[in-house]
Amino acid sequence: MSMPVSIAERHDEAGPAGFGILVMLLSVAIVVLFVLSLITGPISLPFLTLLSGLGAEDASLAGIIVEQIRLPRAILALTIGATLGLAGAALQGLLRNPLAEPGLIGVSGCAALGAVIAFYTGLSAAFALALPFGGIAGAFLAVAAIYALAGRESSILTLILAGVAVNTFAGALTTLALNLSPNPYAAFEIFFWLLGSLSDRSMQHVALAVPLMALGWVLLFTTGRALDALTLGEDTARSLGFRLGSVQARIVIGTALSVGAAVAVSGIIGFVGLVVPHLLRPFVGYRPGRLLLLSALGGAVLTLAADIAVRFMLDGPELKLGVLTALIGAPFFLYLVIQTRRSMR
Amino acid sequence: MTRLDARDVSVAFGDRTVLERITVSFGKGALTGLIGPNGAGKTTLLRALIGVQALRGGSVSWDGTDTNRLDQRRLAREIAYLPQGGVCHWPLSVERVVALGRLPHQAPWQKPSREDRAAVEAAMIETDVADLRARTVTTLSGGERMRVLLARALATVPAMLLADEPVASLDPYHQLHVMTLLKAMTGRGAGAIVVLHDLTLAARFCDRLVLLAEGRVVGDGAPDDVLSADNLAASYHVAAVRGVENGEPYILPWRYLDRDAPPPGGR
Repeated sequence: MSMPVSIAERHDEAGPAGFGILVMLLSVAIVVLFVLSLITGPISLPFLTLLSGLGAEDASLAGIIVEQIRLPRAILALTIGATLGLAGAALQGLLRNPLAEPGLIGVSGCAALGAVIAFYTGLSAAFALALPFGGIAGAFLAVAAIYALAGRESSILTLILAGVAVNTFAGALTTLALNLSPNPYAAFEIFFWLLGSLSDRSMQHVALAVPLMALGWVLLFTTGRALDALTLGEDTARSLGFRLGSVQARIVIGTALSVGAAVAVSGIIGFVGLVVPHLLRPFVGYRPGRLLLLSALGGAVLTLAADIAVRFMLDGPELKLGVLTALIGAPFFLYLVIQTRRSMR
Repeated sequence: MTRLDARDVSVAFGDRTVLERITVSFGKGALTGLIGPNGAGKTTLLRALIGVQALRGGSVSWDGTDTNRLDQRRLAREIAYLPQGGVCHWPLSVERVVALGRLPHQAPWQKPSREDRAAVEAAMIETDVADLRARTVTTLSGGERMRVLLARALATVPAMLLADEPVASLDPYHQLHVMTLLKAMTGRGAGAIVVLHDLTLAARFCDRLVLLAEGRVVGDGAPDDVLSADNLAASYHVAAVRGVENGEPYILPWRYLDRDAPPPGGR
């Protein structure tokens, strides 16, 4: 028996080491892309100018560009990307379905609706921060609706159905707002905002959204072990000592806080929460708990990279970030559906 | 003595009563077979005992304390549950699935200890899945997967194991192997409640049988007494061939009886 134990030890020593290397690689990629995001734009800033611009007290052009335009944009790409990757991985673990996405339980849709209502009522014109507040309120309403429909002790299937219902309802009301909009410019504004973008965001947006997102991350990161146990189904997870009601609540509220705050600032950036967990899952041996941290880092990498790419893709108006992620993500989604169908016979 | 007690346990799905005021105790050091026809409530009783089934009435206690008032992680360390069918939603390796049985022993963020690894290893060897350790669990056959999931439950090193049809999908070799292993486990002081359909395995290996029919306990005691011809006719609607081989009983359901005819011996 001494030999098999030593085999087991080698297995477990290889695991965390490989995991550590991956975490480090993704972290390095985030730092590099973050700096690239500050350098890249219509006016290119060499790295040294960038450094002096960041440190300078005077309002040089470089300083203004970096601090007021590119720094908030880079911070939001990092944090919103991490949010989408993390929330996707957590939802997929909870629902045990690789096709689940933050939008699934209706949080993105309701956050968008909240922001659209802020547009529609003119509140956002009178008061700039009404837009993010509306998005966050919408996200919380989505959570309340999910709780009313699915309850604390409900099964995971009920949660999916409740999410679909909430999402459909939010979509219908958003379309209604577009339809009834008396002002064509407002309708245009809503339409473009819904496409999802990180351009022209300020440090105010960062200050409002990032703390709420961070709160959501903390809740989501506490669920790793329960998600591992859920691999063997709800009954086994309960028999292993996990209270599924609490796990569900932490994931739903954590997702609402983080995704609600993110959508309010960026509009709907789809598919990051789908693509990133799927690509990283084999590296953690398909353990949903281990996937959380990697997926958050991977989401930040993908979103930072995509947000740099959109600045180069068109000569005229900038390509919307949400459009780019949808163009990449939708075929990927189709591929996943086909794969899932095959594995389910 | 540590015991798992069900007192007046009732369970209903909507209007349909599945368990009706069941009172039964399970001690350590005994292998108890839970038998009965399809739909008798065997799985529901196990789920009620482990606390994943909401009760309409009654209570379940472990060591004299209502299980709802016990710390859930402590309870998970002491009572392990192997559900029927055996699902695994992600393609984990066999070794990682078995290691999930150690979760109740580990604090959050804690790495597996030497004791954890030894328990996982021992459970894999006992259930004959050590050779499969690196295989992906979703690519295994049904019987192999069931043994892996049994290893997961054994890796917890529970004081009481509740297993729902652990041998149903196994080949004859592994049926005998697993029953022998469960018997040895109870010989070392743990308790086990095992749902079985094979009456010979129930008669040969179990210390005690609990016979359920239509949500009630209709037989409880030594295998010979519970598996009487009258009980088989009344509950299972079958007649069996029985005999003794090397001092051990075998019992083979031989033909089914007319359900409407009064069973022999009254009732």
